[in-house]
Amino acid sequence: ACGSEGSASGEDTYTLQVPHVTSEEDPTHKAWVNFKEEVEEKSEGRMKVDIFSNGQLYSSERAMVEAVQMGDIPIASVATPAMAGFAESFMILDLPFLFNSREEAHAALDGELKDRLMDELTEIDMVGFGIGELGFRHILNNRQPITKPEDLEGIKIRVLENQLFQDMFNELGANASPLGFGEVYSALQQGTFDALESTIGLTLSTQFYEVQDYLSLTSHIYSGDVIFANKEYMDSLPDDLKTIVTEAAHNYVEFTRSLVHEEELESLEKLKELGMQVNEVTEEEKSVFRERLQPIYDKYEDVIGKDLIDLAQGSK
Amino acid sequence: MTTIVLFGSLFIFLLMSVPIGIAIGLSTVLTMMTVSDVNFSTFILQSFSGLDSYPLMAIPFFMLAGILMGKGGVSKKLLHLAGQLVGWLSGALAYITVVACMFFSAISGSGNATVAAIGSAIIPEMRAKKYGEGFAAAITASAGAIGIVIPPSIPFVLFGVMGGVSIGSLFLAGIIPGILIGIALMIASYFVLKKNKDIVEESDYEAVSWKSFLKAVLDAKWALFAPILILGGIYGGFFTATEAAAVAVVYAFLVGVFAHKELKWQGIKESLLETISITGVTMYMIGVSIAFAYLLTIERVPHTIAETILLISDNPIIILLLINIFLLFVGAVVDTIAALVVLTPILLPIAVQFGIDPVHFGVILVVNLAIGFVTPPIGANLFIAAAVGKVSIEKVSIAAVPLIITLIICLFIISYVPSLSLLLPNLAK
Amino acid sequence: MDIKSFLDKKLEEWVLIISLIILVLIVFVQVLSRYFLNYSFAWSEEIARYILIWVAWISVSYSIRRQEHLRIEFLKDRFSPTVQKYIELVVLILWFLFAIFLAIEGTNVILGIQSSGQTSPSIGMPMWIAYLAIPVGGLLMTIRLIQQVYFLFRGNKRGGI
Ligand code: NA
Ligand code: NA
Repeated sequence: ACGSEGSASGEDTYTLQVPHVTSEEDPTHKAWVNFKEEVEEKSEGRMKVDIFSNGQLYSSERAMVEAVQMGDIPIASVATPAMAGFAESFMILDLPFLFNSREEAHAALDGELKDRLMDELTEIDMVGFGIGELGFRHILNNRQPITKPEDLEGIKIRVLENQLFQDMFNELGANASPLGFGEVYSALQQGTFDALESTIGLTLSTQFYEVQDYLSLTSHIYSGDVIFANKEYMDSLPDDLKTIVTEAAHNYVEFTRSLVHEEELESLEKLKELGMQVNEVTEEEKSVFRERLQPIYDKYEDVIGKDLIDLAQGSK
Repeated sequence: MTTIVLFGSLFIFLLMSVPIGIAIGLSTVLTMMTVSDVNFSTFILQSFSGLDSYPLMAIPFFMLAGILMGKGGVSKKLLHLAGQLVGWLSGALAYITVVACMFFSAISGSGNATVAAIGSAIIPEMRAKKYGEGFAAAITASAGAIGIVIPPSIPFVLFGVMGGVSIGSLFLAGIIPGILIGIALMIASYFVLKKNKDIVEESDYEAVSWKSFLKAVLDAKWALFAPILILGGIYGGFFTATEAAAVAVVYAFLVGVFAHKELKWQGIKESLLETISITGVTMYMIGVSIAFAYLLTIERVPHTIAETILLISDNPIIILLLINIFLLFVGAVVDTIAALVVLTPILLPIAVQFGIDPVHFGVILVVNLAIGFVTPPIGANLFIAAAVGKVSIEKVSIAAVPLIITLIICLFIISYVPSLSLLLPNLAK
Repeated sequence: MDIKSFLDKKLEEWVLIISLIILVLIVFVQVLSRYFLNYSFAWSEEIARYILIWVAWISVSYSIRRQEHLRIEFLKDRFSPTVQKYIELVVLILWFLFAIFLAIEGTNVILGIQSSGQTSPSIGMPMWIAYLAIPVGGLLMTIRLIQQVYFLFRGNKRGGI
């Protein structure tokens, strides 16, 4: 998939296959379309970008990372939790209430923390360009607005397949377990699960609002969208194309940040119109959650590294 | 070019009698070796991640549950109950077969298990009563096809996993089409049997009273409770469709061992081994087919096919007709699971593009493949019914013709009346 | 029962039977626990998936032994028994090549995954352990296929099951 083909003019042409697992309505897709336009225009047709949406090529983000690493696919972006199995430092971003605002997150993810994370990708044959935005993750459920840890007591919540996420919600007294994305909607509909945690954008595009009554803006995780490529592939590109791809990838990061922010405001209004009860969670309320979750920080401090945690929070 | 090498070599390998899954794998590797830029590692990664899906667990589980139920004395009780319901009709054994298959379908996720469980009990009896050995096997094979339409259903699980469609909704969508097929098969049997004087003039069954009916219901209570447990459990929020399959296994085990006391260690072991050998010939195929589908997707083959179809017509009615004819042909020669894993990634995007609801399309696809169970040359239900009934495949195939026509009529009704499939899933929303 | 016969007929059988029972129990216990104890195991879904993948690949070779693979034979059946035998040999060789491919390319992929240190999402198990099922499945297949060639020329079609 990573080869180059000769063209009539004698110059090599390159095709970048880009897989992603979201729908074509989601910001990720729009950001890739933007990337495609930029690369194809700047390369004057020497490089083609072919986007495969909806998990057509890879049904999971884990498989996507693996494919890039093996050089089966040149470039991709995934939600940061999917990267933790490959580069442990990425677990830092799974820590609850790590950032209090988008600005804090951007500052950290543009600074030394980013360099540390991207360096770890280099060690496993990949080039990391940066971390774009998917939005903060919030809690949706069928019982009540969530404002304090007690509200989660005994609630059956679907979480990402990620040890830290499970520990986090169990620590808060919930009954957390992973469930394949395909089964989530009907499990919530039938009441097999009471709750899930998701971004505002996904809540709307996956129609989870149809089967969940309450959306509590806990912002417990800042969900990043890491964009990365196969290192060998990047090295094989002529210098000018390499520069074009790298620039477009950096623009991808900026593009997702502005687009997600813009769309979230609209989506939130739409969700309210569609009958979801949305509640804010105040800073004081968040700090109660944060305190209850200290054991998670203690447990994972050794794995992630105290220096990294300090780096992330140093920007506060 | 990729498409030609991929399908061309697949076709040759299949004709050479290379096992279906191996042929899919070989043609994929051959294409990667010759005309495609896709790396070999993709084959391994896709073969792995194609199976790395929790809902797939339901496939061996529903198989095992069906086999355990069959060995645990459930078939006899269901047949007796069916006898109480439709036994007073002349030609009753045919109707009893269909009704019992419908009951058993609500327990078993596989058409083959349904044929084996019901057929081994009823075909010998039908033969003894002059139903014609071909007909006896053919009606069982056809009614067994309902096994994958009425939930639970392994093909629905597979379609749901591959197409990202809710398995719970697919299960609900199969109920009415499954019942429709059952009724249609009974009507067809009536016309086939009308000519047979031996059957029409002789009643097969003892007189039915409320008392004997209630006794039959009570007798079959554990079997009748199984679908309530499975579907009630899913829709009552106790467990997911995947988990329901494991619950069904445990339930079948408990009923067979403790309630009916017919399941011994030997039967359990045989059930496990049978499940494992079916798993051995089907599950890896799912992984390998994902690698196969990858090549098609990266070459945008479904997209190209859709565009070609659009040249012929953009009328959903015509498109459904074309898809159905194609699928009937595929179903005649290819095994269900193989057809499903290869075709879902190609056809589902096309169907969605033409405005067909994914759940409805799942039902259409599965009914087509259910018909494939009964159509020669490769029809698993035909083979099983022929083996159980000790009849030649040719005789069964000939007797199956009117029944296959009936199934095809049902298919078209189901295709063109979406509400038959979508009514229940929409009600559940 | 001697060792040779045990390896030939019983080993895979028992490994698979036990795995299948464990698989059912894992999922069943998870349902009970989530519903009645309001507690979910973090590991169950992931472990169950990987066991299933192992069962899927190991059972392929088991089904070779039982000659249960689904094949389209109507064309082959038209030839004389001798020709059929040679067609069968070609099929077994093609199949063997595929099994070798799984074993070798599977091993390459595993070496890649192992050196990258990828771990599974929920329990942090090295991911190559799950992937190992594919080359192992391929290797077992090659053994069973050689055995089939032996049966083919010894004239005992079903190899005495
Ligand atoms: Na069924
Ligand atoms: Na057929």
